[in-house]
Amino acid sequence: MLVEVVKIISDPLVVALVLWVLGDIFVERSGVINLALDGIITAAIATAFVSTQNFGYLISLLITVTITLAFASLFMIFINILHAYHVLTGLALNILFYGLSALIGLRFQQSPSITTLNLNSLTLASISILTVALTWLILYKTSIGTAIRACGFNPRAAEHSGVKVWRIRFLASVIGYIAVGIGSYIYATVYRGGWSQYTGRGYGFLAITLAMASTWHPLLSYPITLAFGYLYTSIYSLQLLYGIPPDVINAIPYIASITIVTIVYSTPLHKKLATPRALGEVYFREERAA
Amino acid sequence: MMMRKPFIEVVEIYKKFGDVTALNGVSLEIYPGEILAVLGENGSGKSTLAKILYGLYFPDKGYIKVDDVVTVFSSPAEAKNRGIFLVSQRPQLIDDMSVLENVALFLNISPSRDLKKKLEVTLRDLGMAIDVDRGVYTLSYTEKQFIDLAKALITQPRLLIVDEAATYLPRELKLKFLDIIKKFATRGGSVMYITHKILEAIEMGDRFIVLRKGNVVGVFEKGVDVTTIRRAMFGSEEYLTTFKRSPKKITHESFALSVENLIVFDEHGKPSVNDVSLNVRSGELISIVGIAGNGQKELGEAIAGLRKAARGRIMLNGNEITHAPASERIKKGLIYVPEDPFREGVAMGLTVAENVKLFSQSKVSRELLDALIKKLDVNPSNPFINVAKLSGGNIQKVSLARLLLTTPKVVVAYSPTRMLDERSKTLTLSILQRLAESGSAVLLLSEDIEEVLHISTRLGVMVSGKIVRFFETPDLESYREDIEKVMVHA
Amino acid sequence: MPKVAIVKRELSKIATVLAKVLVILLGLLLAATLTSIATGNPLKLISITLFQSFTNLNVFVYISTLLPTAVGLSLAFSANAWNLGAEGQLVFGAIGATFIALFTPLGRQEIIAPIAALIFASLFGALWALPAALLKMFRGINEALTTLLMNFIAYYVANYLVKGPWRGRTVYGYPTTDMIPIESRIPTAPGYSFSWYVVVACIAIAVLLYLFLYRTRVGIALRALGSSIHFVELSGLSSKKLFLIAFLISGALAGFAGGVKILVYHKKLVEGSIVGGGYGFTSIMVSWLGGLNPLFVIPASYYTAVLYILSFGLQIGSAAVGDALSSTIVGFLLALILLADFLTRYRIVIRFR
Repeated sequence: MLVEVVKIISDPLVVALVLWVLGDIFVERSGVINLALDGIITAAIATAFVSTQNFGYLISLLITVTITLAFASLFMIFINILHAYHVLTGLALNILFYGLSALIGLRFQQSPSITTLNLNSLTLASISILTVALTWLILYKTSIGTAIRACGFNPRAAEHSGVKVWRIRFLASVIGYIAVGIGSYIYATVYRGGWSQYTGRGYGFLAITLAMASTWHPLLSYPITLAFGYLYTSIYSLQLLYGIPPDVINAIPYIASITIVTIVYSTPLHKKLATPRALGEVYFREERAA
Repeated sequence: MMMRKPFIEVVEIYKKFGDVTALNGVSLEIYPGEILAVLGENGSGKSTLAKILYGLYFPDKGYIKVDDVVTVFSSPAEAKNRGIFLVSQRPQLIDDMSVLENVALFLNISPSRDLKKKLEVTLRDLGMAIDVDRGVYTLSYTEKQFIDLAKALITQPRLLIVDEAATYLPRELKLKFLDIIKKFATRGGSVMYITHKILEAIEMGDRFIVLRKGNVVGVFEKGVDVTTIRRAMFGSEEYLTTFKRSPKKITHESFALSVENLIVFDEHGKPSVNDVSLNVRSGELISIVGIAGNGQKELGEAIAGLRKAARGRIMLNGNEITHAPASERIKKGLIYVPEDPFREGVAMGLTVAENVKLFSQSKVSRELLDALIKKLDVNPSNPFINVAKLSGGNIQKVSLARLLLTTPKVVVAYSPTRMLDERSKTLTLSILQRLAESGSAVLLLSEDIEEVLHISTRLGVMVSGKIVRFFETPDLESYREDIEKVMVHA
Repeated sequence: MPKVAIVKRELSKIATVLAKVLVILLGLLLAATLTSIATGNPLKLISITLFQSFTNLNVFVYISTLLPTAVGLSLAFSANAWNLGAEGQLVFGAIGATFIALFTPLGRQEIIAPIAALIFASLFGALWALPAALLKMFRGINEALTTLLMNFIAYYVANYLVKGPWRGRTVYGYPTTDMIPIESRIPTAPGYSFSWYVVVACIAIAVLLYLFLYRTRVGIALRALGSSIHFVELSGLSSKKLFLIAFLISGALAGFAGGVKILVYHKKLVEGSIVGGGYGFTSIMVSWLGGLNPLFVIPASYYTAVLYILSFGLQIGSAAVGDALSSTIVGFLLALILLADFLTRYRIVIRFR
């Protein structure tokens, strides 16, 4: 049992997933529906892969995080300055980022694989546990975190309290997408070690799902992500042992997420867990009110 | 005093929303230690001015001069840094966070033990005993309003803009609130005190500015009388203070609307309507009046079906509707006129014609539409423009069209005149009165004794969720003082 | 320091439409130039491809899927029902149509078969939209997220079916079902893989839904729901019923589109992501491009269909690069629409004092 747990928490795919989920929590806690995450992850993975091939592991990490932040900033410009609907922006930019990911990969790749980076279990486990702790500290113990959560609860009242909502949302996405960038880097260099067109597509939506299932709480998100990580990594043994078709297992996080959220919302839990109420609301300061 | 330098100067501020001009070149200045009262009707531009001074709105033209520095604010953060803070009618707190977190957010620091102590001291000075670790959603309106003020005072601001912030407070707390503001001014702070109530302004102000349709139409010094200000506020428009009802014999015996032992909880599980019973016959116009926040709003919403009744019964023409959805009740002949035209009175995305169409179960002809617009004096009169292009008062008039399409069995209205100028106010009240005369049962819930005194057949006073006393016609005017006394001290 | 602020702008309807068209045309020009640079093909060739895309009859293949789905969604979005699940509803429609065509005796009845299959497809689409609608109505759960998740579940259901119980007896390679009987297919235009019947039906649906939304009390109330639930209730219309209607109609129309894909295009059920093909997601953009007005959704779906054709036309050289390039361009043009939307509704004010 203990061996199993250690295996899961140090699994590079799970570590990447944890970072993606935490990154998403930052963004969605500030009130932005983060659908562009899927496209950005896809593009970040392609970037990590080709830059590792061309410049080595260390520089690749820098490049990946920088490019991830650049894409995230584009997303935030649409949300915060152009006041576009979050959902529409996410969907449109996803298509753009999928395309860009393939262009980046096809243009700069030298061979279809790289030697995977060897990180020991302890390092991998510490990366994810540290990020969980850091996310919780920032969100719940600092003034920036207070402001981020305030923007997710009620941007109008936050602005009235002297928070520059657009700036905080930008900041939240910068912090969040650093985690996303590192996660994508780990996925590309430690876990996958290879790239083909659209590698990584779909993980963004999975991360959004897991964040929602954990009611956007970083400490809750960790065990939930581990649980799904376990199912994911043991998909084939489950099929062999119990004859469960892989498609059924694949559907589990989505079904479970809807179930968990339904339970949370049907009980007084949701008052306690304080989910970002203004998620997806287009915030325009000069809106008329009585 | 005039020789001193003003803390803030507002110079030629213009602001338009679409086709509606909210501010049309407003200039003023406020000195340290001074309370400047800004008066005007709803829609005169006073709130827009407050929001521009606090950085919530960006002016089209004009600027602000603070300590001789010319600027405009593009966010409340900037205004706050200059020592300016706005307290408005709705407390601007984050419900999902604790009091402490809210204050920390405002001060831009992380919540700490030191802050907690400081906050507790400030609240004690204000005479408020509130556990600062409580979630804001558990607090009452009054408590929230005081915390909004307290968090501003901690920063030792230089200008407090008070935008009708005391309007909904219960009498005693209101006096306390106003006292805090006066004290703030005596210690050298500047105050911009925004209100539409002339007596309140005279009580508070050192100097007075009157706005009408976005223009400054009068500047007065201390000692000005009510009539002068009133004339400035309403201009040449007729100001109708009284209008007499002709008491009619009520012939119907059965109740069109009856409420039995109704209990309604507010958002936080406290009873805001506490065991209320009342009956309205066809042809009657009953008013329930009380200071804001005493449950009239919740009572109205519960009868309309916008709010759940926790206990008790609501009957419409002998049929129980306690748990029917709002739409069902409307279909059965109950009409509810909401207070907030923007959020409940109309659908902002639709045209005037489409809005009116929705009020009526049957087809609305072009002639009927034009007649309604004329009768309600909606301006501009084109029915095919989007309602969002109209001013607040005109939007409220569109919302009132629902009263003119049929003769409803029961009408319930909550502060229907809040957004209106005097003429439209009179029009609205006369519509309600006429409906009662032609057989509707009308229940008018109000915060303003003036508007209900002369048109009601019966008048109830609501205090802390209970109707404490009913006054009977014919001569309600003679009870005025009694009514006011009951409203304040029950 | 200069002060920057964003304020509302009021443009007339005509100016708004013109501005959007202008931005779209400029975008196309820009995209063509970029493509020319990226692929090394002369701009002239690209422009010809672009022009041909506008006149290529194959646009109707895409319109047959995009138009009904997007029209349904414009109804839902007007009512503030954030149905992002058209993709899954489309897949479920496809499953419904396949079920009738392959596994019931109806599938072998001429004329009756396609009609029954389309009705079932619509029902299945609506059915797949139902849980999210109910969760929103009775538990207040954000429907945008639940419908999004339902898409993935629908994919896996379709995958499970084609790999498992419905797998065709004569199928090798990619998992699919058997081909549906001839009687249940809808006849296509000679030489093309779309059907004129379907195209006419789609346009008729758009016009009917326009009349519904703008000329009937219930339709107007649906649009009012986007502004205020209380207003609608106080006008005597049940907001819950209206929300459900909007949700189910959008689900049904996405299901209809899925049925069309099976009966006209695939002629068998394939894996979820192939039958869905992202059209459910693209339709969301199409409905916004059309300003949520069913009539304007017709040109919007035409324009988007042209983009699809164009992206195939651009697949000169390597197919992989072509696909990547076309995805980039489509994404770019869709983002441009959001920019145009901003420019018509807001303006940026910069003041130096």
